[in-house]
Amino acid sequence: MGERVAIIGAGQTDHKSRRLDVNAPELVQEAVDRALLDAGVGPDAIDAVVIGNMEHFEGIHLSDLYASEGTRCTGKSHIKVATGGTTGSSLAQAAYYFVAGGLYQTVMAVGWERLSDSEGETTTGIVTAFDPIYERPTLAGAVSGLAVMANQYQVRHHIRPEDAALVVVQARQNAARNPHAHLRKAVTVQEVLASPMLSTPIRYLDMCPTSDGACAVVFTSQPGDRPAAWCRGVASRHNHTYLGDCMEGAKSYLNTLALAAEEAYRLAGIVDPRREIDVVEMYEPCTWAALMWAEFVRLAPPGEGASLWQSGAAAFGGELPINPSGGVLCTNPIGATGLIRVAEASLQVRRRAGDRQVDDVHTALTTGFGGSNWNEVMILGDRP
Amino acid sequence: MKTVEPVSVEGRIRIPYRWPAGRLGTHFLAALRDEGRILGLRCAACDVVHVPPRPSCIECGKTPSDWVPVGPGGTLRAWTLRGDAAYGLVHLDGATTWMTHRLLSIDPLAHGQRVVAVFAEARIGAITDLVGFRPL
Amino acid sequence: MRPVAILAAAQTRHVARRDDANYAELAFEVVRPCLDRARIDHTRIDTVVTASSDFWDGRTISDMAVQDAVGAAGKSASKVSMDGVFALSYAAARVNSGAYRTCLVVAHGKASEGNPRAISTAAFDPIFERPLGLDDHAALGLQASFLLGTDVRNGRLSEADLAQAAAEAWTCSSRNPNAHRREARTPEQVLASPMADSPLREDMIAPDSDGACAILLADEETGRREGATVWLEGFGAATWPHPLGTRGFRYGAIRTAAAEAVRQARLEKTGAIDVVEVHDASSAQSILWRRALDLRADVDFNPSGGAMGAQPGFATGLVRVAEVYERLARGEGKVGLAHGQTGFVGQSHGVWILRRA
Repeated sequence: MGERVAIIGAGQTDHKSRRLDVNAPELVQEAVDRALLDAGVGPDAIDAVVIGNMEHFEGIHLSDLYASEGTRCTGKSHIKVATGGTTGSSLAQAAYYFVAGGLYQTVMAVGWERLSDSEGETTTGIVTAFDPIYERPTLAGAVSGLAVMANQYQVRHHIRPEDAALVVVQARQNAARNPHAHLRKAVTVQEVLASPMLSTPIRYLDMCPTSDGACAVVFTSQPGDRPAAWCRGVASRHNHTYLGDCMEGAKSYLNTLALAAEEAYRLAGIVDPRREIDVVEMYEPCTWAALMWAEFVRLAPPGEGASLWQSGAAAFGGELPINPSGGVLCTNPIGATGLIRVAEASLQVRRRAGDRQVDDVHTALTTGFGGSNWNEVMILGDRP
Repeated sequence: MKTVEPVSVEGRIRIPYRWPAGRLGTHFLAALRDEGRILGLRCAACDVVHVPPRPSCIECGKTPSDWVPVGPGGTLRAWTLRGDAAYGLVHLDGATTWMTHRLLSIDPLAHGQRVVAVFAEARIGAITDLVGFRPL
Repeated sequence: MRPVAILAAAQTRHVARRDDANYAELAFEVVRPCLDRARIDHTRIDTVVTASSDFWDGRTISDMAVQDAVGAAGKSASKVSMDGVFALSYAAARVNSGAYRTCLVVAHGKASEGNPRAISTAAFDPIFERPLGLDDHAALGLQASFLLGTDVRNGRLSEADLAQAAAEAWTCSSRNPNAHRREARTPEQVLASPMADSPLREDMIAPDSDGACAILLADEETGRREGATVWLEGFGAATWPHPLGTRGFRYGAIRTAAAEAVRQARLEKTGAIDVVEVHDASSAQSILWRRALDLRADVDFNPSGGAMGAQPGFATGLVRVAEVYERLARGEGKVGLAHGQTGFVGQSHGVWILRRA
């Protein structure tokens, strides 16, 4: 049997479109120093680092070896985990397993991205995720896959664009309380519906931004007296080799988020997530996805995800706040994004989330999403 | 069944990049450009002088903060030649870590050879403001 | 770490170019025999960790392409963007966490699909080193040059030493049916090969290969039940600073990594090790890493030919583990050490200690 694992510290940079004032190591160091401060430990307490980003965005091969200059852990193990959009959540999972497996007592997960390094070419970076023979010449791009999924969902359940738009309206309201968030200005449903169409049905304001930023989270099996957010359910699933694999009705269709969530709930002993989860930090690459993800993790019945935002349940003061940080719709430094979900959830559970602290949090759900229909779930709680 | 030649598809990933030098890199490159000087970054806790600058000391991990002039002379610790290209690892006077750069002549080259930095006439704030090192 | 069982290993024949297979097919070529040798079917693989390079594969989520081949579809999996030797540590952690009984590790590298020198240039510091046009071979040349000029531990290297070590590697790999290099060479022949990045001649530098490797791990209970004879008993890893000039080209990181692996395996000393496989990207490294590890004189060193015999990208270090595993499984020794690296001239090292029960 493995060790119990807790998060004792989390830090992140102030995320912006362009952090031209720092290079990658300095960006990483900013997040690392804040995480160590939050944890109340020095770099000596860290036994090993897991670090990652999507190297095509910065055009730096073996990018971790360069960025590791900023971890203050020179001489220790640095292992690079990189799985596309899920990099951040995969880093959290790797840190968790390294500690749970007893290989190290304390591991720091560091996710980072400098999307401005290839500004304007983000799509090119993502395009290479697609198979060069069968898909790259036609369908590739961040939005296309999401748009096809959103289109299916919209048609099947008769969802209106304004239902999706509400998600980003509330996200921006939440981000106003988060000093680290990238996009913090309010938007209205009308503004969303008037923004340019990217790929039907996804409009510009329905889609997450690209940001420069970093995040660091400290996992340990020996939290001592410190406030701890315990890892209670950790699971992941993925299945896409070709985009058609994940379309509902396809022979190999497996809803990986639902499967990962089921396993995480089982491990965490959660039977009724709608009642037992107190706060959610989900990885929603676009508004439409938020509606779908909420259903796949059983917070709402199929076709009724929008009701969470419409009823106010998902709002900051509601019964089940979703993305009090502002979520991915407000901040997206891709290699860090999934890790920021875990960082934010750990702040909520440890009651250190400042102005964005939700009342009475005992259990937090986080999700990570990325290419290949990859979904990762980590549930944090205030007890082991 | 007929034997078929394996099919391959060619492609190229073309992405233009812009990398910030960062806080420390900017200071270093500005000194190179504006003053024709090479600066090292010294860790106050353990005296290690880093060239190029780094945000954490290779010995103790703290942030080094003292800028000190290094070079322009130094000692050659290693070199390699491939065709016309020559690279060297130069231990600049006053520095602890060594700098990688081009060697402008391969005659003479020996371990311990004294070399000196050659600066470009027109400098723009890039490492190539140092054209390379010339054996003395 | 708690010991982890190796149930089986498999590798491809590593060659210069596999035009007949994409890298997913290459991965499948090793997964099938690995499972067959373990007599385990894919439903009993609980989780998978892959190792691949997005730059080498020209694909931003390179693991996406192999997941069907490695049996990861519908399962929890992850990817390490470093040599497979490091992915193996993540795999051991997954197994020891109690969440998974078995974990498959698959690493691949297809040097032929891109330009390894040009790709390596992209790994240098973009401000201070990349504009100079350095690549991995230039870095190897600088390392070898340093060793010719400096009294490292047991005296300066000479060109003859580099040629001798290279010839030994070529001879060993000529006997290895999986190796890329299949001809023996004498030191004289090595010295006659064209100069590449001085002082290294072409025959003193490891080749760029297409290949893959898979290793199947199991937890203690499953390992005992399956009759596993060889166990992973210790792992150490260390990452040194990035700029070439900060590392002084000594051997610090490999010694840190090895010391930790030896400590975890409760070995008295590295002299107890019977067989060693290191990732030697040049014959200078064959000598340097060997010296750094303080091995006994009659140790079986790189019997496969090492990386000098075949270097299939991120599979190279995992192949080292497979080679040691197979020898111990055959009874050719009781304790083994397998080493891998990622980054220029050894920025990150990973060292495993394996033991035959």
